[in-house]
Amino acid sequence: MWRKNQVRYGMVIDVDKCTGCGACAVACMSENNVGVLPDETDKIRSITWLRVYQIDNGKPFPDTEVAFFPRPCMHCQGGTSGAPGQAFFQEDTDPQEAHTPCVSVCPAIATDYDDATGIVSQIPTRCIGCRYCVAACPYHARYFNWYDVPWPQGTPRGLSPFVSPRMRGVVEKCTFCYARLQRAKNKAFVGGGKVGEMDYQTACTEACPSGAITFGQLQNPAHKVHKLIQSEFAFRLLEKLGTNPKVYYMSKRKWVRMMADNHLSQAKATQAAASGGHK
Amino acid sequence: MDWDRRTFVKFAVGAVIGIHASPLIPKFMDDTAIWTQNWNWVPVPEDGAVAYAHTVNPHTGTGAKAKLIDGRVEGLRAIRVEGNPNHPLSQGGVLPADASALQLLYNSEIRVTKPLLRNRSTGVMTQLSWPQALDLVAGNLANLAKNGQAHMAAALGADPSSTTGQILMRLMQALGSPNVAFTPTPRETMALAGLFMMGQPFLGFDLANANYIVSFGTPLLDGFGAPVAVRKAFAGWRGYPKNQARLVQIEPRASVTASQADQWLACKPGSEGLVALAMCRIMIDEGVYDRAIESAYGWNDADGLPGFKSYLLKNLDRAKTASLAGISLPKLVKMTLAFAKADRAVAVCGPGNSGDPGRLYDFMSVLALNALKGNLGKPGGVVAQQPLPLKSLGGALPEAKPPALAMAGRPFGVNNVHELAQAALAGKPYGLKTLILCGGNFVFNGPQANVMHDLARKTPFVVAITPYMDESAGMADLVLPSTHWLEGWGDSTTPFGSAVSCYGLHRPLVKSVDEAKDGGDILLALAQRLGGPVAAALPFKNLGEAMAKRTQAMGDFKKLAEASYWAQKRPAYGAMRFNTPSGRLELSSRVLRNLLSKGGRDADKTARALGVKAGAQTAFLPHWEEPAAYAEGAAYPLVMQAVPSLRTTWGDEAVTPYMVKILPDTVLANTDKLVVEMHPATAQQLHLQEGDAVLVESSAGSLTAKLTLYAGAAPGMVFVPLGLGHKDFGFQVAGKGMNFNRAVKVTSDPMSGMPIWELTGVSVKKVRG
Amino acid sequence: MATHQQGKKQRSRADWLLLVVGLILGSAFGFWITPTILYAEKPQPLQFNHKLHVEQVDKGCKSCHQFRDDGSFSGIPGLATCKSCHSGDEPLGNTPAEKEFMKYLKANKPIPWHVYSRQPDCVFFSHAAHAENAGLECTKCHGQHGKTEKLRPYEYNRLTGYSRDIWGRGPIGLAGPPDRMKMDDCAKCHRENGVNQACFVCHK
Repeated sequence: MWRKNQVRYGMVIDVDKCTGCGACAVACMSENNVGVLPDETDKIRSITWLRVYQIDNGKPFPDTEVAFFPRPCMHCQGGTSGAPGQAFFQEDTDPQEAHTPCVSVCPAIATDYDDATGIVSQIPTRCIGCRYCVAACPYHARYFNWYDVPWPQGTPRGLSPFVSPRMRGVVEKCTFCYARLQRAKNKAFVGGGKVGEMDYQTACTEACPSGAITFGQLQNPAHKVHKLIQSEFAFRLLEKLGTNPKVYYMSKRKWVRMMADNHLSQAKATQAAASGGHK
Repeated sequence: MDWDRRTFVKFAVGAVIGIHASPLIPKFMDDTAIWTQNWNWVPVPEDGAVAYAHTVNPHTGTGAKAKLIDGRVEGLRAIRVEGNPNHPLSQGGVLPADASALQLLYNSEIRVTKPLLRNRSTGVMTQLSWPQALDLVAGNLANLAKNGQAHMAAALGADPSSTTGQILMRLMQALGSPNVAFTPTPRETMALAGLFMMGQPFLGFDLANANYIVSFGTPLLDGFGAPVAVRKAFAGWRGYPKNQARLVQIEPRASVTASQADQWLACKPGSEGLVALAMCRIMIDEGVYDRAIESAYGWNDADGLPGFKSYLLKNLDRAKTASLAGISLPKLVKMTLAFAKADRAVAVCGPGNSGDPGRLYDFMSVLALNALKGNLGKPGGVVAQQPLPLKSLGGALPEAKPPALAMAGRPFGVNNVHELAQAALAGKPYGLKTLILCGGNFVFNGPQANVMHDLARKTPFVVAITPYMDESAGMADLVLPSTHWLEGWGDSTTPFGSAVSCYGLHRPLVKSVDEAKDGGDILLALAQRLGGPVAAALPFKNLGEAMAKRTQAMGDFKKLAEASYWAQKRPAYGAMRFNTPSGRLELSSRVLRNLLSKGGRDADKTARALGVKAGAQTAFLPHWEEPAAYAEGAAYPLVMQAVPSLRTTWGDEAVTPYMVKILPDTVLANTDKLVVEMHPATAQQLHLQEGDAVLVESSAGSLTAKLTLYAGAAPGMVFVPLGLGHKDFGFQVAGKGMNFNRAVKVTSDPMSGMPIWELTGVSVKKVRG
Repeated sequence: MATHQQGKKQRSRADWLLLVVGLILGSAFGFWITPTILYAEKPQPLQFNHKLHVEQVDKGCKSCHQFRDDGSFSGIPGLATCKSCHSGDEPLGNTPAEKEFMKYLKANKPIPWHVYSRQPDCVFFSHAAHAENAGLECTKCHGQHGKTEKLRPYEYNRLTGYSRDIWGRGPIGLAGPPDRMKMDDCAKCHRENGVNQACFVCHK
C-alpha cells in the first residue's frame, strides 16, 4: 500500500535506444561483485542480475528485426488495477492485495518489500537456499548460487566493499544498487540536504552509452521517470499477472510492445496500431 | 543418607539441568548457526576512502573515471571503471570492455609479472631480471645492425599515433629497419581517401547534428570509432513520439544497427560502395544534388580521362546496379530522394563488420556522395578535424635503405602487417631474424591469425611486450611485462570518424603489478642500451617525459594528465579547404594519378598491376570493384562475414570474463561452442539443420562451430562472431568458441594497400561434433 | 516391608537436595566454561591510551574517527592520521607502546589492530545515520571506550571468528549495547524509535 510521501524507486528502459551492447549488465556485475564461473554458457546456472534478452519480429529476410530487453529485478509491488502509469502509487490499493511474488513465498524472510522505497531486498546471509522465490518470480530475475565463485587469483582486489560477496547456496538478484542509496543517504546526513534525483542512480543507468535507462522516483513529478511512465509508448512486462512491476519499458514499435504481453486495452491497442512501428 | 545409584542419578540430572540453565548450550547453538553462514573463503573487500581519477581507455577511446579505494591495510586499489561525464566524446557512457577492465588488471593468472625467457624446445619459462632481459634484446638488435642486417628486425605495434607507437617507429628507423607495421584501422583508409580527393587526411562525420544518416555496411552501433560517442549521437536521433533523425543501414544482415535503424536495405555482401554510387547516379538523374560539385575537378571529363559524371552515366545503369546490389530500385530511389531532401544528411563509411579497415574506393564513393549532397563542412555533414597539436618526438631520421617487406611494388609505403608477414615467410626479398611484438596480440588478432602464428614460429627470435600472457606472448622467446592502462602512462588519438579531434591520456592510478613497466619505457631503455644514433633519436628518460614533450602545445602536462583528455571545442564548420593540386575537390584524384605515374611510370600499367581492373580509366575515380571473395570459385561457394559485437571485442584488447558471461547462446552455446548463423534456405540447400556441428573452411583456414538458422542472415552467407576463441587469458576466457581470424583470407586493397578481410569465400560442411 | 518403606522416605529427601546441589554446580560450571571454551583472546599489537589522546585533541572522538565528505566514516585511523601529530622522528613520550608505535611509523606499515566492534561483512552500519542524523552519542554503542587507558585483549568467538563485543560481553549475553551489538539489538532500537526496519536499511 502506498501512502503519500512514500518514495517509489523505478526505472524506465527505452527499448528503441537499447543497442544490446551489454554495458549495463557488465557495469552491474562490477558494481555488485558478481562472479564468473568456468562455464557461463550454462544459462540456468549463470548469474546475471541484469540480463539483456534479445527478441526478433519473426519476419523473413529482409524484414527481420531484433530488439533488446535489459531485464533487472522488477521490484514488483503487486495488487493493483490502476492504469499502468498510475499503478504503483494508487492510494486505494488494498494491503491484502499487495503481493510481491518472491516475498510472499520466502520462508526465511530473506527477502522483503521495503515500504519506504518500494525496493525488494535480498539478504543472502539469511537465505536458506530453498529457491522457492526463484520459482515464484515470473521474470527469472532471481539466481541461485550453485557454486562458490572461483575468483581468479588477484581479482578480489578489484571487488567493491559496498556489496557483500555471496557464498554458494544462496539466492541473489538486482537490488537497484541499494548500496548506492545507502551511500547517498550518508552523504545527505553529513552534508545536509536530501537525496536528489542524480545522487542515487543505478550502475546500469550511469553506464548505458545510449542513455536508454532512466532511474528515479516514480511518484515524484520532479523526476524524469514520472513523466516517462505516463507515455502512451510505456509498458511493462507481463502486466496481466498483476505483479505491478516498477520497471517500465518504452518503444514506438508495435511488435515490441505486443511481445511484452502488455495487455493493452482495446482502445490503446488501436491507438498503438495507428501510430505503428517506425518501420 | 545412603549414597547409591539413585542419589547419583539425581545429582547428575540436577547438574545436567544446571548446565542447560547456563548459557553454554544456547550460545553454542547460536554460534553454530552463525558458523554455518561464515564462509571464510568468500572474500571480504576492505573499506576505505573513495576517490575518483579521470583517465581514457586507449583501446576504446572512452573517457573513464576509475573509482579508487584507499584501504587502511591494503592500500590504494581500483574497484570500478565508470564513465567520465566531462569527456566530450563519451559523455559518461562506457562499454562492456571499459566496465570490466579490472578483470584483466587484477587477474594474476594472466598477467606477466617478470621478464620471462622461453626455451623453444621444452616450452619452459625462466625468470630474468630486467637488465638481463634488456641486454638480451639490445644485444640481438646490435648484432643484426653490426652485420648490416638491421632490416631483418621487424616490429609490430598496436597504434601508430600513440606515443609508444611513435617511439617504436623511431627506434626501428634509427636502427635501420623499414619494417614496422601496426594494427590496420579505417583511420588510414579514410586518411588516404580524404587526401586523394580533398587533401584532407583527418575527416569526420558530424553524427550528433545529422538528421538523415545512411550507413554503408559499417557497424555504426557495434564498433565504429569511439563506440560510446556514436551511441550518444544515436540517443539524440531517437525521440517520442517521432524520431529526431532517420538512420538507414545498408548491409547484408539484420544486425543490431540494421534493426535499430529506421530503414534497413539488405544488399549483397560487399556491394555497399556500389549502392553509394547508385545513389549518386539517382541524384544526378533527378537533379537533386548540390550544384557546387560541378566546379570540382573531375566532375566533367578532364585531361583525357573520364569525369565522375560521365563515368556514372555511362557505366552505372540504375536498374542493373540495383539488381546487382540486391536492392529494390523503387525503395532505393525513395530513400535517395529523402536523403537529398534532408537538410542535414550524411553518408557514412567505416570499418567493416569483420573489423577490416575498409576498401579505399568504397570510402571514396561515400565521400563523393557526401560531396554531391553538398554537406562538406556543414553541421551534420562531413567535416575536417583540426589536427591534434602534437609535436614530433624529434627530427626526421634517415630512410632505411632496403625496401620494406610490405611494399610489394607499390608506389607508396603502406601499413600492411599481413603483407609484411607473408613476404617474410616467403623470404622474398628477405626473411626476418628478430620480431618485436609490442601490444596488439597479433598472433590472435591476425588479421590472418594463422599467418601471424607462422611468422612468430619461424622467426628465430621473438620478443613480446605485453601486459598479459596472451597468444603472442605464448609464441615469444622473451616476454617483457608491460603495464595495464590503469597502472601506466600512455595515450591515444582521435577515434575514427569523430567530428572533433580528441587526444586521450592515461596515467598510473594504481601500483603496477610486480615488475611491469610501461611499454614505452621498455623501448626507451632498449634505445639507451643500443646507444649511438638510436639513443640519440630517443633522448627521453621515460614515456611520461616523451608524452610531455609531445603535448607541449596542450598546456601544462600535469593538468592535462589529470583532465585525461584534450579535445577540439566544436566541429570546424565552414567551407572546406581543399589541399589538392587543383585547389578544388577532386573527384578524379590527381594525387593518385601523380603517385601512379611517379618516376615516369605508365599509370595505366601500374594501376592494372596493382589490381585495379579497369586501369587508368577509372583508377582515379570513386568506383566499385568486385570483392575478391566473389572469385574464390566453386569450392568456396558461400561468403563468410563476421558479426562484430561490443560484447566480444573492441580494439585489440581481449574479451573479458564478464563479456564472455553475457554472451547469448546464439553466439556461444553450451558448452563453450561458437555459433555461426545462416539463412534457413541456404541451410536447406546444404542439407544442414539447426544445431548441426559444421566446419567452415576457406582457402586460408577453417573453424568448427554449431549452426543456428537466422532469418535475418543474408542467403548464401555464413556469419561468424568476432573476437572469441582465445587459447589463453585464464579459465574464464580460454577455450570459449573459435577465432574468426583463423578462417579469414586476407587480401590487399588494390589502391590503399591496406589488408582487407571483410568477406571470405568459404564452404560449410556438416561434421561430427 | 515397613523398614524398607521408611528408608525410602528418608533417602528421597536428601536426594532432592543433591539435585539442587547438582543444579547449582552444573549451572555454575556452565557459566564458567562458556566464555572459556567459546572465546579466545588476542593481544592488541600495541597499547593505545584513549584517555591520554582525547585530552590532547579538541574535537573529541571525531578528531581521529572522522566522517569523510562523502558521508562515510573513517573508522580506525590510518598512519596518515597518526602522523599529523607523531610527525617527527622523535617519539612523543617514553612508554613502551610509543616505542612499539615508532616501529610501525618508521616502516610505514599499517598497525594490525583488532577491531572490537567489527560487524560481519553483510552488515551496512551507517555512522552518519546514527551519530549525525539521530544524534546518538558514541558511548551509546561503544561504551566508555574513549576513556580507557589500555586496550583490553581482543576476544573473538572460536567458531565464528567474530568479536565478543558483538556477541555480548556479559555471561548471558542478553543485554543490549554497549554490551552486545547483535541484529536483535539494532532491530529493538529501530522498533522503539519508529525507524524503518526493512532488511536493506542495515544490510548490504
